[in-house]
Amino acid sequence: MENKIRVVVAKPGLDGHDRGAKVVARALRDAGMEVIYTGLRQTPEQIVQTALQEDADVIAISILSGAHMALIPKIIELLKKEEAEDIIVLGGGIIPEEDRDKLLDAGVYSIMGPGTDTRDIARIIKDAVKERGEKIAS
Amino acid sequence: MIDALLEKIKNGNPRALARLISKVEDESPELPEIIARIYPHLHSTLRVGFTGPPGAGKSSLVNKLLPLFKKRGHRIGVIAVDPTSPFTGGAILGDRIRMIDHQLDNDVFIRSMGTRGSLGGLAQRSRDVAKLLDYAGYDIILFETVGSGQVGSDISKSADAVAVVMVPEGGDFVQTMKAGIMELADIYVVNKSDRDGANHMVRSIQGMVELSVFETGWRPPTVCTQANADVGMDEFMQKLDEFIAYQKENGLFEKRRREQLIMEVGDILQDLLRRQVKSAFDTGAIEDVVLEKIIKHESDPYTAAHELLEHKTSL
Repeated sequence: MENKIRVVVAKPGLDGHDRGAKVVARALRDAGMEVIYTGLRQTPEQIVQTALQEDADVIAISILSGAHMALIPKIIELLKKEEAEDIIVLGGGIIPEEDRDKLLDAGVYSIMGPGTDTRDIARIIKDAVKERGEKIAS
Repeated sequence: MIDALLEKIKNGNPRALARLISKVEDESPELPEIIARIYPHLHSTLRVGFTGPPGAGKSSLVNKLLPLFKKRGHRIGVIAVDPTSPFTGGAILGDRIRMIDHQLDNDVFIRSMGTRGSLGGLAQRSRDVAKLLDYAGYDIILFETVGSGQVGSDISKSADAVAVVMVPEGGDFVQTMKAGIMELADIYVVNKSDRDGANHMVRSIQGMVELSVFETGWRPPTVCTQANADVGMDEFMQKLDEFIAYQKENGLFEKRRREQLIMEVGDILQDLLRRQVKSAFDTGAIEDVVLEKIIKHESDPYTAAHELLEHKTSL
């Protein structure tokens, strides 16, 4: 029996800059995870439904349009509504310093902007999933 | 735990279904119990498989067929398989990207699976995931295999009807004659049929069909489609209906299912034996029980293996 880590890599909103999301998706694949890549211009509702159906452990969101303060809290709110707030939410892309704490307060696990080593992303995900597993078990 | 999840599934909770699918996919120790619990309640839903080379348009085709199945009042479960890396165990599961039209549709449940070491085109537990979808009330199951060029016949063990999806660039006559996935088709689809070479491809397939002998008497038809432009979908559905009707009229539908069940039990049996053998290695049972005798020439490797098999307790 193995518990593969499943990550939805999502690009909500209207920007079409998916290079970062692709780099992360590819890096997580190489770290042994199953990455569900859903493509551009997803609504928060679509992302949450995907995460539910795919039993994702993690939703990794990439936004470069500036709409992060609208879209990311919306995703977290929808997860709560579905009683799925245990799904770990990560933020990436262009997220200004002054918004970071607000997003972390809203329930984002970690924000990893440009320049983050992809191996760090994989490590943070593995730690977070392990921690979550222990929390659910206890 | 399982009880609670099964109850939630009956109430239409997608996450509970997804959770149980993961348990099945992860080969949790609860897997046999889960299947035993749901099996009496299954409806033996129709299962249609789509296979063919990478990029042929299998996901796009499924995406465009979903509304047609829905119009007939069906709820559809889609199992989309993509390859797992043999090097890292990771996978990019990207079939959903073609099916985003149905992301918010309660009547469509899409689950992506990695092959996780299986080489037959489907994931090891795809069949069992289909059972869970059946239990949850999805009354048509669509399987989409990994992109398979020439081999990968799991789909014929799992589906009541198999469509092999090709593209105009799929090669000449000799490619269509080769053994492998071309033999699996109940229906051929030439997708992207607006491209050059589509007619040639259709003729190659039909030429091959004419040269073939089909035991059941069904001669696989070829349907031209352009999934992205919604062309050919009705024709595909018509051919699918004709095929299913033919199978049922001639007792072939049941026959195929019986054969599939025999293979399924056989596969599970093989799996159980493989695990026993593995544990014989892990625990050192082989070494403890027979090694010395073989070294002293009191036994030999074949006799020893047969003995171990007969007295499985020592495994």
